[in-house]
Amino acid sequence: MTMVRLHSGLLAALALTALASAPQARSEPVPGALVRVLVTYQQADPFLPWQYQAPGMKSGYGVAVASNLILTTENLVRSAKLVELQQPRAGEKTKADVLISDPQVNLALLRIADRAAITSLVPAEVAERAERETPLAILQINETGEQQSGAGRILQVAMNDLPSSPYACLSATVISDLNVNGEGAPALQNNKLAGLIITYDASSRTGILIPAPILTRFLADAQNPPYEGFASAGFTWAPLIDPAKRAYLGVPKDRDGRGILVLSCLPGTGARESLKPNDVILEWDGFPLDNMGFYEDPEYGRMQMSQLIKGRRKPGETVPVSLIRDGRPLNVNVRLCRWDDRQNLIPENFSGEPVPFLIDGGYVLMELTGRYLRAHGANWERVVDPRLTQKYLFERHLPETPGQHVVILAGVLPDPSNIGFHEIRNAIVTAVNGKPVANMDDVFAIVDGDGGLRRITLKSVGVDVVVDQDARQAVNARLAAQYRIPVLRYRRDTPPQK
Amino acid sequence: MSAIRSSVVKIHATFQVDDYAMPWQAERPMSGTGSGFIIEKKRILTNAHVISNARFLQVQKDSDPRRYPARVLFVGHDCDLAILTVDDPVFFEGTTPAVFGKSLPRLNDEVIVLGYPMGGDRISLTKGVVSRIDYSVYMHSGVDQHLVLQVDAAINPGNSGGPVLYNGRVVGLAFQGISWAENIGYAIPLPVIHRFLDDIRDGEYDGYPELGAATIEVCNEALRRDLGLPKGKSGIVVHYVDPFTSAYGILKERDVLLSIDGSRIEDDGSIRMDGETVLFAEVLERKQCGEDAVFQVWRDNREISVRVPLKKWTDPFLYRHRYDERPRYFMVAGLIFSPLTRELMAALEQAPLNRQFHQLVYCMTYAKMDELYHGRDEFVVLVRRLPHQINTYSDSFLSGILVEVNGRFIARLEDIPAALEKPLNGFHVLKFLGMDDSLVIPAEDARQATEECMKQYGIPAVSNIGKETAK
Repeated sequence: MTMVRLHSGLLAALALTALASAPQARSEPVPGALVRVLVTYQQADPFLPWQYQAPGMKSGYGVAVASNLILTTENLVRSAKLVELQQPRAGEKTKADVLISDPQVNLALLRIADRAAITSLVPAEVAERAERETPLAILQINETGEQQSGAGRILQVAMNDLPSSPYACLSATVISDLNVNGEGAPALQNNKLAGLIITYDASSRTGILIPAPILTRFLADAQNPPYEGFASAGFTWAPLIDPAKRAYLGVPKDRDGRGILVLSCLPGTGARESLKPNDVILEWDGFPLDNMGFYEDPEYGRMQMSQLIKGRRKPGETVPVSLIRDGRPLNVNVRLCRWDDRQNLIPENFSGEPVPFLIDGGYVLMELTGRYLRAHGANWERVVDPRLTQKYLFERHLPETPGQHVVILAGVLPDPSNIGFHEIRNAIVTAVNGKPVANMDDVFAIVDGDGGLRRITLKSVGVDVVVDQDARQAVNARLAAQYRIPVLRYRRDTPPQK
Repeated sequence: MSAIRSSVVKIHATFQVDDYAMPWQAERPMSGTGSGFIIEKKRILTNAHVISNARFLQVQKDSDPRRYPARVLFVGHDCDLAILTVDDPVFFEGTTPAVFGKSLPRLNDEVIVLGYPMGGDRISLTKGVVSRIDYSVYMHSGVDQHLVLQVDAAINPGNSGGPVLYNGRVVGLAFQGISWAENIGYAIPLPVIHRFLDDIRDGEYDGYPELGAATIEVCNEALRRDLGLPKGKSGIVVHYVDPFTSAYGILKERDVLLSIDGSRIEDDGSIRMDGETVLFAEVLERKQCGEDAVFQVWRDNREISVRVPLKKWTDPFLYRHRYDERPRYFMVAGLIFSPLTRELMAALEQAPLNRQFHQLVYCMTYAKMDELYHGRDEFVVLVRRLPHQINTYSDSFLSGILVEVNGRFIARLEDIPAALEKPLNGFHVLKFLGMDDSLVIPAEDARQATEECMKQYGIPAVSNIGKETAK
């Protein structure tokens, strides 16, 4: 007892000494826009949807765009449980909340929780555009907490697939002498924010930057709720180079080298209303398209057509399109939409959110996601049931009706009451209690209406899985205790248990 | 021992495997050896896999340096058994046909394996006990399951086809092992051999009939109640009936099979037979095509008797390994089409896998259950593109399943040439399963491109459409 007291007294004395010497070398935050963003993240367990994986930490950068708002990357704050900010030279951390994050442009806006905690922030002004000729100054923080800056320049601007999510976004390839040590590092041109670095490869000394125009669009949208997001056209297309196919589709000779081929239109989109498979789009929103889908952008030069949709337009706007259908020229208007991962038949769920599930009688019903499939290993296409692989590879974007998902009986938690069905795994559920289901919401509605799960119909299996009604309640209590399941269901409109 | 020893023969085979990626030709010939033994009527019993794809066969006795040309009389690929004969009567002089045992040995009974495994030229004898009698997949067909005799006597490459003896009588035929396991060798047991010999008695091998009812156990109380199955009754419940099999149209989904030929079926699908517990399928295993199986069935809350006549089983959507069949193909404008087979999948696996490949796996697995086969005799696959200016833009269709040519549904390979007769506005338009895009070829140039591809890539024939065999 005395020993402990002695120790704590000693420590207190040491701490006092440190404080006493503080005025001389006090860590004074550097006034500026740069902050370090420290993130603790946690994703749901893909196989045990009622629990989470171990939390992890990552850090990157953000840049102040207002006295209490920080712009950073969506990938950095993805699945964040705690976000903290730290200024150069400062040890203090202050909490921030994620206001909006959009994986389609890999950007997120944070708000400092306690406005008084950081006072020396000098918000950066976003540049009008990211210039190819003007040198870049890339900011970051080194090991000692000092802000450092390195020179760089933009090599090329194009629509690239984002490394962190399955979307193409206007982005710039940057070459830099600075070994960029975290995502979200701001790049300045003439002291204005020209973009955020999202990846950097030390071996080639190149990185990818989300350029100013996207930041401006995102910020304007994020600060003016509701957030609308970036537009999608709602169709898939292919280049149309093959001269035989062009001739077959009736594209006139004088349009040689122009036009792309519409493959499929997503349900519930404007494209489904206005376009048809095998349409050849010659002109989109007033810009002629070449046969590989490029157009001449007044600002960026040769650019992929997706920039015409995502960069120049907003969801809900309508654009004029001239095309060839059945060999005849035709002008139509296409209403643009926002296509969210959730709208896919099989969402990717790359952000690792909890998926809707229901456990009743030991039967684990859940929504199928790309993340769940991939969790089966690098070779997942050959590991999981070929039926699921095929569905994902061929139909994941194509719900038959908006809101449709794939409900699976992921597995069975063994209990005496469900004996005989223990082996079932990853089977597609077509009906519950004899009623067809298109998503987990249907499952919840049916089960709640009927007072419980009674039977599960599996695709192409003529005998239903029958749930023991007498034992159901007892079984649920027993399984929840045995397998340590805090809640036996998660429905998306109620927030997940944290 | 000396009598049986003189009847165990070594089989020398030169075989050649067809190249399903370039179906107009075959791979390099290889040679191998196996074992066999002489049975009555101047016949030699061996494994089907010893003589499959053989281009030249010779047999040799332990006591005789001469090799005698042999020929195949019967093959049962589903049970990995074959019968050979030697035309030279001298060969059978001084040999005694092997004698079969009366019944299967039991666990721990000591057995002897004779044959010509690797590691020497002369006959080899290994000894062990019966470790297990069970069902297992016969690797030669890749899909069929029958009874096997597991022994701990060494069974090595070359042993295949040699007899397994108990008390000097043949009770099995050594046929496969597990390469990564030790002291596990498998033999084809007496019942399977007897059924095969019985089957060929009429001069033709029909193979096993297939009931085709997929079942699950009814040990679940809730399921029993749902089926209305009274206490005291046991059985298994049918959840799917295969459209190409004997039970189709006779047994139904939700039928509970209570007994087969008078033997009660337990909740785990087992029955008692000859004092042993075996799967109910064992009753069917011993039947020939043309015989019946009689089930007591619980259907719609009452017990009825159902007779299932067992038919010869021909199922184009059962993906067994194929032997001694020239791969079928059709080439147009450098595009090679073949029916989907297990061999084709192995060939396609050599290239990087695309999403169409995974679709093929799906179609192989679920052709019938998910009713993907409807209207088809086979799935026709774009196997390969022989690059030619005419087909430059068609790589994205590789491994795709052809569904339509010029608006005509493709049910089988033979439909392609017929459909090519009627191009659409001067173009051949090919559509593939699950793909929104179409492959378009100018019809006028197609014929010439086909000829140029044949010449450039050394293809002797534009197609092998019919079911031609290698022999």
